[in-house]
Amino acid sequence: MTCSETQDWLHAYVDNETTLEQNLGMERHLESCSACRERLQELQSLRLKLQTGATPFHAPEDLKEWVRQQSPNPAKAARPAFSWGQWSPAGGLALAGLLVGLIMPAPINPFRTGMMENEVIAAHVRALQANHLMDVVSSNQHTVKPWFNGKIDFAPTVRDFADEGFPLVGGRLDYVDRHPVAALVYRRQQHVINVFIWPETKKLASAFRESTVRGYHLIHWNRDGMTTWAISDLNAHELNDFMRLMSRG
Amino acid sequence: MTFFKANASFEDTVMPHLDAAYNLARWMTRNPDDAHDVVQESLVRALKYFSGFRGGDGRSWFLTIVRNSCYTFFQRRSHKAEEPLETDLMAEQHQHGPEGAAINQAQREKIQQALADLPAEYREVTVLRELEDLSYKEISAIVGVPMGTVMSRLARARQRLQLTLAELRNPQ
Repeated sequence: MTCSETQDWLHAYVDNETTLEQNLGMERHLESCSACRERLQELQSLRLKLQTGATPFHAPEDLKEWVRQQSPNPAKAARPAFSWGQWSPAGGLALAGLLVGLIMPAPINPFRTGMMENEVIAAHVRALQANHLMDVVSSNQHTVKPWFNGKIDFAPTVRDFADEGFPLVGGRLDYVDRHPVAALVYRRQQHVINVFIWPETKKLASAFRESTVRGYHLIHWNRDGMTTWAISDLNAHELNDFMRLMSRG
Repeated sequence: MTFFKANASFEDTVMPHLDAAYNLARWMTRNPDDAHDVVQESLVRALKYFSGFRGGDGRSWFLTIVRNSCYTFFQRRSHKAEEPLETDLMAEQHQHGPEGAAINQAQREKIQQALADLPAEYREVTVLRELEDLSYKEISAIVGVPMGTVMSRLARARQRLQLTLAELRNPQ
């Protein structure tokens, strides 16, 4: 790539919007051209300034409350109540459908607003509201992990994923399901991710279970005798990325 | 997954993106009261159109509504976008975590002022990219311009910011 081509694509490059082929061409050019390298550094420095200086605003509580108060299905709520006067073949079909629906058992999803989810959400919200997010503030896994020594009788795996965009910011002791649990705190931009870990000897290794409750995304899995819950208001897609990092051996 | 999304409630669809919505409106209107009004109006619209939302990317869907409401708001107060900024621009901003400590308050204000001073069409792409971490494709859908235009607006926005913030030392 030439200087002018490199500079055309520099923004797309820092935004991860270039193809692998473009990246290779760009990196080959950057190695040999100090002027383009300087441009790249300037751009990265500007992005860092914006991301540390222009912190995002959060929605006021009354707007959140308004959303919570909306009927879960406005289309259904708006439909008039069933009346015999409107009886018609279509109505008959609808009624038949309704009866089938009553007889057929609904698919059972134990993870749908289960007790444990409510506890995990409560712990997450409590930590954010009470301003008690962290007992140990550190992005260093070698500081956070030993901090749990003597406070709980197990040793959670603690890793920092700052390079992948999920920096570890600290840890604390919490209680979920009447257990003391290790809570690790990560960030993704302005979003907080709480990860709760505790030993669960009875349960076998399980697949990842995802759920969305009241706007929070939760992912839960069991492995090596430990149960892990990750919760955040982050979108499901990014929380999935995080879960893949966490569960990597 | 599609089945689940199609049946997701309004709350499940909108709530995860409410902070992003408010943040966009807050940077666009540059005022907490106006941002509140714009988001409230967007929520009412979103609820009205929710029965037609077929699942998929709830964030882009809702942010498109918010972005359009911002422009409706600009039209209603046709000169608002160019009005001088309030001095308490950032008064309500939340506390900063440990990662915020690397730069001081004066630097932070300068950065925020520089962003707030950008023209609306540069400001929106910058907020969506740098603060909300959206891809060009998502921004293109929300703003309603081709991806190439997203890239060139971002490039121009960054050039302006670089000029304004040139003397600011790098965050540690």
